[in-house]
Amino acid sequence: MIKLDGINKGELFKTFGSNFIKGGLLIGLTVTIIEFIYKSNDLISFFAYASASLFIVQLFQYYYVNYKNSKVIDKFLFHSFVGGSVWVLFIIIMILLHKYTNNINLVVISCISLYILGLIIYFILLKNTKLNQCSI
Amino acid sequence: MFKDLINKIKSKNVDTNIFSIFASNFIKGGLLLGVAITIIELIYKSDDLLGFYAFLSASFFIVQLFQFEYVNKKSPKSTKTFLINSIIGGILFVVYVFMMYYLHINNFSPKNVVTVLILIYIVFTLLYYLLIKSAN
Repeated sequence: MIKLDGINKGELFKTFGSNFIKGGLLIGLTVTIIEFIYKSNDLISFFAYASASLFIVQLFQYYYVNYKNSKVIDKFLFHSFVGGSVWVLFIIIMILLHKYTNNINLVVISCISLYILGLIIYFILLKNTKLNQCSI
Repeated sequence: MFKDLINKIKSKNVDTNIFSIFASNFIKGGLLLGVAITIIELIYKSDDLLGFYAFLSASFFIVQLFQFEYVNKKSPKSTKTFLINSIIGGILFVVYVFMMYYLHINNFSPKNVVTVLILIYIVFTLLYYLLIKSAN
């Protein structure tokens, strides 16, 4: 189903190691910042906004994709737009679940399940419909 | 502006065990993002899944979900504020992707797109901070 030709499998560990450090720093720092500011209502607002709007990773991916294969950049932008909109939808679902269940574990488990389900559905749509041809 | 911010942070009862919080979240975050991004890396390098890769990375809201869980655990009163500001940040993310597309189709070079959007992101983030500060 997924073509893995051309992948240097020996580099996978290196990729994991590098992303382990980056991910650890990202989550470690953000949660530690929350520890500093969670008692302040205006700072928590700012932090939520800043982390939710952090699209810098997507921006560098755009640069990288354009550098590697500029022909597919319109496709990349279209699916980034759809993904960003779905991100907002997930936050709305998170709010609704939080409001109507008030059970934090249920919210987290439901949202992770919905996210995985959404990815699988999107993957199937890409494989079986003309969605894969869409570009902005 | 930043003096106020630092004073606010200093005035809170910050957990003295901040290093262990950082270390614990470094491991969790490293494993989470390390595994996730390595999978993305596999998909990205395969031939025809670029659209799925763009969607997956743009809709990756798991970090925000864990931040939500942590905020709710530490300060349940701030959860609603956190969620509302997350929506605003998420909408801004989509706007940024749209700007990326707009600059791209208007023949800005990828380097210029990256530079302009990083500047716009910093300016908007500072403006949002000032707006929150003046509203409180």
